[in-house]
Amino acid sequence: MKMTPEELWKLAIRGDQPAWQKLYELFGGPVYQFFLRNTRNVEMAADKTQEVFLRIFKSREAFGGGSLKSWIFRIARNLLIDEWRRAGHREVLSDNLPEIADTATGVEEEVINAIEHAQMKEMIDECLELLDEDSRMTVCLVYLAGLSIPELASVMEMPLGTAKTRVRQARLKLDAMLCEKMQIKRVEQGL
Amino acid sequence: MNCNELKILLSECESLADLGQLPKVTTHLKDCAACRAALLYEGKLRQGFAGIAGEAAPPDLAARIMAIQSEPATETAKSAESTEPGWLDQLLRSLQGFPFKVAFAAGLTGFFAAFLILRQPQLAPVNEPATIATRQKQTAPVPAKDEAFQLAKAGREPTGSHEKTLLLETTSAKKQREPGGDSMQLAMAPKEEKAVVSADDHKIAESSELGVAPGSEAEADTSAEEQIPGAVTFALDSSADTFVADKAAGAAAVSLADQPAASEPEMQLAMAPSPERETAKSVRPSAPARFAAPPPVGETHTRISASQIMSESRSKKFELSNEMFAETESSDPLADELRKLIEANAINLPEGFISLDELAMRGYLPAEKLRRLRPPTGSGWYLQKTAGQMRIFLKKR
Repeated sequence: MKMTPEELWKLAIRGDQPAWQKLYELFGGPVYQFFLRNTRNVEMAADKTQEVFLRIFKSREAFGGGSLKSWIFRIARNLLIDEWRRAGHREVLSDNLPEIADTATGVEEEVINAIEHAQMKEMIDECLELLDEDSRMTVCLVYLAGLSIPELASVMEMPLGTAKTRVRQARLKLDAMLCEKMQIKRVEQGL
Repeated sequence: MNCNELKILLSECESLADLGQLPKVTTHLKDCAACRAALLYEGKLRQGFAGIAGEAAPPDLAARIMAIQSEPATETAKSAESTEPGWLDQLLRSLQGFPFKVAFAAGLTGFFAAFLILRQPQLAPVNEPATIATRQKQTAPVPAKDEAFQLAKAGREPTGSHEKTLLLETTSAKKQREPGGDSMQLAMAPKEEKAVVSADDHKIAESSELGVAPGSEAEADTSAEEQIPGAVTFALDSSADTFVADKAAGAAAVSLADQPAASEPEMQLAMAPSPERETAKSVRPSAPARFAAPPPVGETHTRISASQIMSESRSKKFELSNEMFAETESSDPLADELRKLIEANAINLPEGFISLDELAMRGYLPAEKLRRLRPPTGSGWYLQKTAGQMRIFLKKR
């Protein structure tokens, strides 16, 4: 019988180790990748992931229901912002992002079909590195962590409309980068 | 459905497989190659992200995170045991009420303030002790029912041993007082001084037995002391943690407390302004000194505990009362003159204050005598009838 993350959580805080392990299997990888893609530091990503799990366990009584995934990634996002502030290369997240024009990618179907999964992963990784921090974090929360738009709004503590706008703008940036890379790949492969 | 609507659906939907099952989407996709490419791109992108998210974390991270659950469990168990509220915690928790804390702090502060004030040693010698309340000079009153007083008044021989002792004490006090010494001072003196004084007593007794006049340097010094009657100074005896009274004042204070009603003439005299008191003293050269003299200039006051003063002064009570009675009997010559005037004219006056103006109006007092007998402002001649005897003394109105 498949249990929801919240049910696993209830068991884990009572000392159920398998439930705790299951929770790690569910969220450990995405949380680690979230930190890794945003910090580009393996050790820091591991430390921050451990910190997230430590915090949720210490403040287990603070979780009053709702989405466990949203709670975990809210903690992860706050830790990331703290780290950015500590590093001094970032002030606060801007609420008002400049509007980006929707430029159609125009990539043909066969070109996309020709891109392998590994290639796609590599391109995504390269594009994420090129994205600005706000967009990268938003994209990571939605596509790496698998948060829905309402969950993203909850995690980022912003209105749903703002969350949608953020996702859309981040996607436009990412898509533009990816399409450019795919076009380059098509030229390289002679498609 | 058009291409924009499909793009919106693509951006918001969580599962592309579910989106592809929608009939209107499949219909649009059949005819629109761009949307088919967009759907394909979206699928590839999500697979790519899923692949990234599924990348393995470092192997030690799993162990570190699994340890989080087990370690805090034991720690929390230990902390739960250690945070069992002890009696001190419970007490402190109960003291957390704000009013109680304020009251407790105020009480504690007051206690320490009082402690510091009372423990502060009096460094400078007290040459001029403060008087009680009104700063008026007060006398040690004599109780009317005093045993020695009654004995002296009765003029009979003491029969019992106690009465003999009283009589002996009285004569001893008189002997001490005659050469200039002060029984009040002796009564208030500390133990060391008492030892000296008791030695002097023996000398006096011996000299009186041998018929030798008991003159000594100490007595001469005492007589030379400046006397501030009625002065009572309290200070803390740091060794005994008790209040001590200045030796000059203790006896008066004790006597005042013990015998409030029996020395009206002494009170009147003490309350009179200093010039009049000097006059009275000069008129009564035989009157003994009523108050203890303060120590000579430069001499540090010796302090004795109030309890000592009380007990010692009580033992001297009979001497004092007898001495005061003797003084009352010798009394003010003006009072004697007034008494004789009343007795000579057989004026029947009620007990209470005597109206000199009325006597003058009735022709008993000439103007010259009226001026001389006029009591100081605020006081008057008081007529007291005791056992058929008439006493007249100054009393504050």
